[in-house]
Formats: sequence, structure tokens, C-alpha cells
Amino acid sequence: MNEENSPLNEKSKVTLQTKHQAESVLDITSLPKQSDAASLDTSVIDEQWAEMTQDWQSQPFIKTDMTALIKQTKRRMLQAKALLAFDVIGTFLLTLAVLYGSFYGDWDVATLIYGGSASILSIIFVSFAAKIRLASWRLFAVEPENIISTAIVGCKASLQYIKLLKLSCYALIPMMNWYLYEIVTSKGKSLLIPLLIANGSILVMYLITHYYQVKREQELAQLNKMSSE
Amino acid sequence: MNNNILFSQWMTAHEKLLRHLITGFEANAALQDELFQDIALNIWRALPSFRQDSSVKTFVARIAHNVLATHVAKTVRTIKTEPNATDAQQEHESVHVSDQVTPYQALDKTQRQQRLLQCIRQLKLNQQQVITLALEGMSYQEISDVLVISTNLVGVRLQRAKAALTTLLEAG
Repeated sequence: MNEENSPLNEKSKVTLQTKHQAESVLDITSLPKQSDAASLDTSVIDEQWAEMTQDWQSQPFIKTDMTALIKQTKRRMLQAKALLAFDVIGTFLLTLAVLYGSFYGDWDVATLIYGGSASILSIIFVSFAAKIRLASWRLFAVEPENIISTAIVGCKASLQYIKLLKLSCYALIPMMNWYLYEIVTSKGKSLLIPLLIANGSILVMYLITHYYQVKREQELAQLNKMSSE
Repeated sequence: MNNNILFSQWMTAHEKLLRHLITGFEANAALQDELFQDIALNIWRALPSFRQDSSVKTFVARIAHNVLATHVAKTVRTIKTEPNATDAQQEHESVHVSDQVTPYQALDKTQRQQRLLQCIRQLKLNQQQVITLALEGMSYQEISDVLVISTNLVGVRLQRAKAALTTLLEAG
């Protein structure tokens, strides 16, 4: 293939607006001759490029059922919004219930303390979750050059959320045990089964959280490695 | 225009481009489908913010690249069984192939497509990005619009990507 007609000389496709820009582009096309790394015979690249382009563009692909895709996309969008809405509404109702209980209800002190702490924790969690979810929804608005650093920020936020969840597990153990003790003993019932269920649930929550922490830490390590390359 | 119709039009018009880009970044068929759905979801979300200051093709390709780059960057890569670019280059230096049919050209079309994809997936992320767009027939200007980098940088990256890709292909 003639080198002048080579697809490598794609500078012809670029609108050159300044002399400086033109010189830079010219310099680019001579790069393989100057660089050690590109000491490769450029004619080999030229020869193969047209063939590669043809091979690439003629790759077979399975046609998508657009109606099904639209339905699925809408469902996923709805699910994501519903999850966030569920978190927000749940937190709002919990806070409202605690406020009602403390002003108008005849709730015992243990329930009020437990409910109040839970609603405060819930507000913190929901604000974190909303921030992470909304950031992931705006992925399209990120410039591709910043995509790795954006992913790093997202991964770190996710890890912070996970650590907060783990911390809440530590806080929940004495709180939950104390609450159960207060409630169950006042009713004269056996404490063993409620304690086993409650602590078992916290343990399961902790293990799931730990699994995601390990996963996110691996992702973060990979992202940092990629970012430094 | 109704979002449903617009989305359907965009996806139909650029489905081939999206499918090709995905195969350049991910080999697993199940993950390819997942990525296609993720890209579709992101395009759906982005629909209201499209202000026509770029072409739909550029807009769609940029979203795809953001999803794919995030996917590649987060995926813990397995150990490569094929030679890396440096080894392949050293190997290549001892072989003069310019006057002959290259190992890549000697393969049949399906094998060549598989080989091409394998080698593209071994490139660095920024090289994968420019080479997949260039193979789609995009100009420097279009690639620059998709990746939001200067056309000069597109040129530099593309040259390096082509050299690395050829080296990998010759090593096969």
C-alpha cells in the first residue's frame, strides 16, 4: 500500500485550524519512525489496517429485540428508583413514628431510645446511599478521560458506606440486646430465642457486608493500578 | 419526540457499533449482554440531557465507553496466557514480514476476527478506546469528541495502539 494513501495518514480527516496544530499532527504521523517502541515496519501496520477494519466491521452480532430491551430498561430504571424511594419513605415513616411516639404515644423509654437511634442511623445511611446511587446514574455525564478517577471516588464512597454499615453492626449488638432484655423481661418471657434470632441476623448482615467490602477493596486496588498506568 | 421512540431509534441505529465496542472490551458472552443492557440503561437516563451539541453517534459512543472503561478498570484481570506487547515486539524484531503474508493475514476470516478481538482486549485501556473507535471508521475529530481529548492526543494514542496491536497480532 502506498504510504501516502495509508490509513495511518488520517490527519487528512482532521480540520486543521492553526499552523501549530498542523505541525503537531505532522509530527504525530512521523512518530513511528522516531520512537524505539514503534520501530515496527509501518508498512506492516498499513497493510493490515484495512483488513483489520474490514474484519472488525463485518463481525456478526445478534439483533436485539428492541421492544423487550425498552421494557427491560424501563423495569430496571423503575427498580432503581423504587429502591431509593423505599429507603427514603421508610426513613421518613420511621422518624415520623418515633416523633409521634415521643409526643403522643405511650411508648416505653426503651422503644423510644431504640427507635430514635434507628431513625438517626437510617437518615445517615439513606443520605449516603442516595449520594452513591445518584452519582452512578450520572455516569453518562462524566468525561471519558475522568472515568477512572470518577470510578475511584465512587468505589471509595461505597467502601465508606460499607464501613459505616459494619460500625452500625457493632453499635447494634449492645443496643439490640439491651432493648430485647428490657422488652422481653418486662413481659416475663424467655430471652434465649429472641437473642439468638437478633444476634444471628446481625452476624449475617456483618458477613454480607464483609463480602462486599473485600470485593470493593479488590476493585479499588484494580482501579488504582489502572489509574497509575 | 417520545422518549420510547427516540430510544428505540438510537439503539437500532447504533446497535452494531455498541455490540462491536463491547466485544472489544469483554470476551464473556453473558457479560457482553449485561454490558449492553447497562449501556442501554445509561442511554435511557441520558436521553433528557442530550442537547444536540454533538452527534447522536458521538453521544452514544461516549456513554458506551464510560460504561466499558469502568467495567474494564474494575475487573481484576486474569493472568494473560498470551505473550504481552513487549515480549511480542522483541519476538517480532527478529522476523521480517513486510514482504510476506503476515500470520494474521494467513488466518481465515473468523479466526482473524477472533485473533483481532483477543489482541485488542490485551491493549491498555486508552489504546483499546481509540483503536475500537478507529476500527469503527470514526475520524480523529469524532474520536476526539467521544473521548473528550485533543485530536493530537488521538493521533498519538492511535499510533501507539496500532503498533502494539500489530505486534500482538504478529506474535500470534
